[in-house]
Amino acid sequence: MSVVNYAKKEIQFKIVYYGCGLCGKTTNLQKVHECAPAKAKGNLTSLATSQDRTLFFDFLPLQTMSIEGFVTKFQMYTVPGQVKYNSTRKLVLRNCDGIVFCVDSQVTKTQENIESWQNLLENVKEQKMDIAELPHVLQYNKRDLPNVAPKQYLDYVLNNGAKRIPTFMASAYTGEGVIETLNAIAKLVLQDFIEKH
Amino acid sequence: MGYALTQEDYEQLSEDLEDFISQSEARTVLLCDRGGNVIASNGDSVMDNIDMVSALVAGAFAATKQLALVLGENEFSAVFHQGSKISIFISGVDEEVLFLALFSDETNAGLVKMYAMKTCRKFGGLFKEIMSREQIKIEDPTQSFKLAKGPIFGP
Repeated sequence: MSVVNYAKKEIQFKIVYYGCGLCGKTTNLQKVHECAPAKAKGNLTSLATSQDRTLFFDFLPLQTMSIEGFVTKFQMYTVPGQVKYNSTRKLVLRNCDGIVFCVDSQVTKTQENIESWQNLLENVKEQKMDIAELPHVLQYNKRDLPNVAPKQYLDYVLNNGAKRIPTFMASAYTGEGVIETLNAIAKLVLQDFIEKH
Repeated sequence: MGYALTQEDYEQLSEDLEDFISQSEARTVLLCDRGGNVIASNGDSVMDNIDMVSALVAGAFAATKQLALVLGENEFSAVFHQGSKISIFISGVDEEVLFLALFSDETNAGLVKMYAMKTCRKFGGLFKEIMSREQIKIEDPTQSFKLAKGPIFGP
């Protein structure tokens, strides 16, 4: 849910990285934090277990001047991917303006990706949002690993609707595709905001 | 979806938050929405990390609400965390907005709570009006929001 503050000339958006456990959502944010200029970023906060698994969310505030005359703030979140944390995922999804669905490209993770995508659709619907109206992109992550599924196969499984979702090949571990994904979702969110206002 | 604060809204909120700080002797006050967005703040601490504080407050309050539901309550309307030097009081203003007061041991928790509840009641009406406005409009109707040129986050 975008928040416009005319007094401070500031607009805030919320972007959520979603996906199955260990697909690389937190690594994406860590890489964004590493790459973003100091002036444009805040601290990266992770609410994680002692085993470094996301327990609640990771949070990274970013700041740009993407809309003329307004400071544009993007509040970046990840959800916990583990199946048992669904109620937490719903809380993090609340009022979000855009979603990056992070896909673990390994062949063995296909079922988990599908279940996570279905879970996203259910949670979005439950929050009375429509996925077709909500800017979102797919990131096929972990392309640096040897056992990855071809892009066509991942498209066939996850991106087979009438309207194709923008997809990005990435390796959050090496940083490849991370900023491209971020730029794409940020642009979709901004375009959506401008179209609606 | 979304909402907008006009110059007038923001001035009204700022004035009320300032009154709260002076009456309650709290150190900082923050208004944020339940999605974690900062709405307005006043006071001397946490300003460098205000986005993070706002995200954590929204998360903590949401988690507490889930706990309340499990225990058969609709919501714990206020949450109090006591520290050795700093304590915080979080209260729901309405369905969308949260109020956080951060105070030291130099003031009294009861005093902070009393003024916080008074301020929250006052804000309830204002946010009802803000949230019920049809949609966000740019202030000058001859203008529209424009994307700045160039990549958003570098190459």
